[in-house]
Amino acid sequence: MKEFKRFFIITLIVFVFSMIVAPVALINWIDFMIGRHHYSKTADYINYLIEQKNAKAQEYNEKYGYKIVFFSGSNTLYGINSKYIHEKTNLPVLNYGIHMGLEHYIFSEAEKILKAGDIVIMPLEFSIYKKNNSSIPSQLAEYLVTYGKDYSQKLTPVQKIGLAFYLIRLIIQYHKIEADPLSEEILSQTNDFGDFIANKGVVPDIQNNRKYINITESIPKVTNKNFALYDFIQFCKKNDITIFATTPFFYHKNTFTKAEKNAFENIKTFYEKNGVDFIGDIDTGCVFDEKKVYDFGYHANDSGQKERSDYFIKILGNLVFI
Amino acid sequence: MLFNSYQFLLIFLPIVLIVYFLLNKFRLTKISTIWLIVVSLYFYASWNFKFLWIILASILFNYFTGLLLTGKICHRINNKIILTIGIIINILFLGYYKYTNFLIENINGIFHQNFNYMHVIMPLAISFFTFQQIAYIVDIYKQKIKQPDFLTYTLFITFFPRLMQGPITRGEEMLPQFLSLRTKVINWKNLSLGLFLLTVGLFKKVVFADMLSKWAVAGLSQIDSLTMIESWITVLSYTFQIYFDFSGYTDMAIGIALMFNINVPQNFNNPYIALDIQDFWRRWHITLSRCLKDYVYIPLGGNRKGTFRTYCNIFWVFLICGIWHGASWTYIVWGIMHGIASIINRLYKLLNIEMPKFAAWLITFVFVNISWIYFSASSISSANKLLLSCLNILNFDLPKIYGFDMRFRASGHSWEIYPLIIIPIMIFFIFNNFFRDKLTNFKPKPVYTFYIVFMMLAVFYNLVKPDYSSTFIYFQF
Repeated sequence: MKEFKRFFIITLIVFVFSMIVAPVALINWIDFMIGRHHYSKTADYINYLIEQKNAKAQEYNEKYGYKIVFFSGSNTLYGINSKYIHEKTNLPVLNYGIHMGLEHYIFSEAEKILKAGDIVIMPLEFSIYKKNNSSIPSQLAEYLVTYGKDYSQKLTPVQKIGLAFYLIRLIIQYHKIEADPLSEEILSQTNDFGDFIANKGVVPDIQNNRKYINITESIPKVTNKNFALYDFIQFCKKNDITIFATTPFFYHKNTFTKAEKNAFENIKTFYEKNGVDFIGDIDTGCVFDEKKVYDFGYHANDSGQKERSDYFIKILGNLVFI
Repeated sequence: MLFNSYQFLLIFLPIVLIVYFLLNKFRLTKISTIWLIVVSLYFYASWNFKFLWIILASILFNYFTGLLLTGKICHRINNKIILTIGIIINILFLGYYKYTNFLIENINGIFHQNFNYMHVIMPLAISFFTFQQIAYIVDIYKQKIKQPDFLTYTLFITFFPRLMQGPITRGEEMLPQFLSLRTKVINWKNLSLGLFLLTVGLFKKVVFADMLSKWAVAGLSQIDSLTMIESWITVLSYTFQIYFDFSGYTDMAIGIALMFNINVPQNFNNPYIALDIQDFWRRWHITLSRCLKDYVYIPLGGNRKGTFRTYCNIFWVFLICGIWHGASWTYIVWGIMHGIASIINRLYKLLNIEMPKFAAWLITFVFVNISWIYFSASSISSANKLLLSCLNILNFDLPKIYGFDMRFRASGHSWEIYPLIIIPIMIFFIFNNFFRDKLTNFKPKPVYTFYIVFMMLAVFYNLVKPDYSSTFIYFQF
């Protein structure tokens, strides 16, 4: 029995020791590795988009003193042609659609370029309404291991350990540490305003789960607790930035069910409670016509993009003078 | 509170163990029993405080029934009547919470009525503790066990390691252990073995089952668009997920109970290596099979009343087994499938033609997989679609395996390399009986320290993921 007693105690000691040593080693390792290499091509492309949009934001700040920012994920990247809107209205319109896979991180990027007097229009993807600040999704992790040096200061030790494991996984997956540089073809997919312009026509055979956006699956009851969007709204209010919410561009089958309508009402209620005006309704950004979708239910093609841009041209004048 | 949560592993369990053995060290055995009951009820109430009265009411009722059966409070009523009333009330109690809305739904459907659904929330583990208590009153009636004191009985029902998902234990194997003074003394061998089993269970659940669940859930949520290979990956993922999930829970339950010096019976014995469907049920959820055999099959007449009645009894047992699992036609179909398969299996045995082992295994394994389709699907029509998709050779589409991956990536569940490494390891573990061998040969040696620490670190790595959230499949029953 004595040897079992010794075994039990030694096992507990080794376990506790491992629980301390392994995390400390991983945290130090990830701190050392973040930003040392370009681990992923996807992250490089996202960063390219962010830099492109930041440059445009800077240009508007200097020239106009304010800007109108369409801010959300790829539904805006694909669904808004800010160059077209700018040319038609001469308004400083910025397409700040990045990638909703970055979840709450996109708010911290947006906060960097916004200033007093700006107008923000948010056609946020439905998935954002269930995300909280504490999770690091895989797409964000992929981005942060290369471009998250500053942001990593904000991460908790547990999140850093998660990031370390993600980096290990990434290196195993790609079999190399340094990703290939972005090709000219990829870089030419956006115009100088940061709008996606390589969305011509419809990609054939889009899988059903990517084609239809299901609202009810994405939206639980919207709360304020630990909620990045809520914090972002408070940031805008504090800094005298006007915000409007609206429906994202999305493709949907036929009509909306009662559950979907209820889920959508939850979103509107959330904005209402937080003093944010909502432009349009459930069908504002929705298309039932497959011919307007590019390769994913949230991605408009050139035809869908033009239609949506025209819609915003119609209402932008009113918003600017509110 | 789940076994696979920090709160349980780092706070609840250590505190309960330390206080329990300290109380016993000072010979406060009664208080130590009360302590275990209180923490078990706290464990149960941590899900939903409102359910506490339900389990307490059930315990009081069945203890009272036991008192009536033993004649301790009333001699005049016939024991058979008491037993019958006791069983009926237990079944009504279970039926009210579990099947009311299912019944209304079917009445509305069949008779084109529009009865409103009742606002009934099913208390956790109701099937487990109700079944266990029915078994208890039957055992009292048959005088297999003596009526214990109220505290021991309450502990027998509420003992937290096996309260939520079993194993379903019998009074005769558990009650003497709760009464024995030998179980009150710290036993380092049991603690070490218990820790090892707990770790094995956690590893199965957190590393294997949770990984597979992502693939199974992603597949089951898009049944309409799966190719043949994708369908099989979905089905196989669920098959292994449910095994690792449930057997992982059972290992944890047995391990934790062992830390308290309580031996709980095994629930699994490598079911996926079974060579026929009867063999499968001797290896899968053993304590439920045992319970159904002793308390349903044998009372119905077992195999004593001729061949036809035997087959009827087998069918009824599996039908009840399906209904026990849940209020849905999918579970009923699952039960019926197993019932019919068992009958066919028996009929085949009458032919005395021995099938090659590999063929026997393959047929059994494929059948079990197909039956899980009905068990896991949200409706019969979804299950039919998935089954047809599994059989649709025209939609074979081998190159789409990468497309499959991309699709699952879209659901946010992709980790391309991980399954490729883990799945062969799982298959090795299943067919090599790795965990059972390690348990049988358990010795207090450094290699076991390594196993425990390695598995625990893997578990904690998964638990610290900010978005980790996972429950057990069998909790819903």
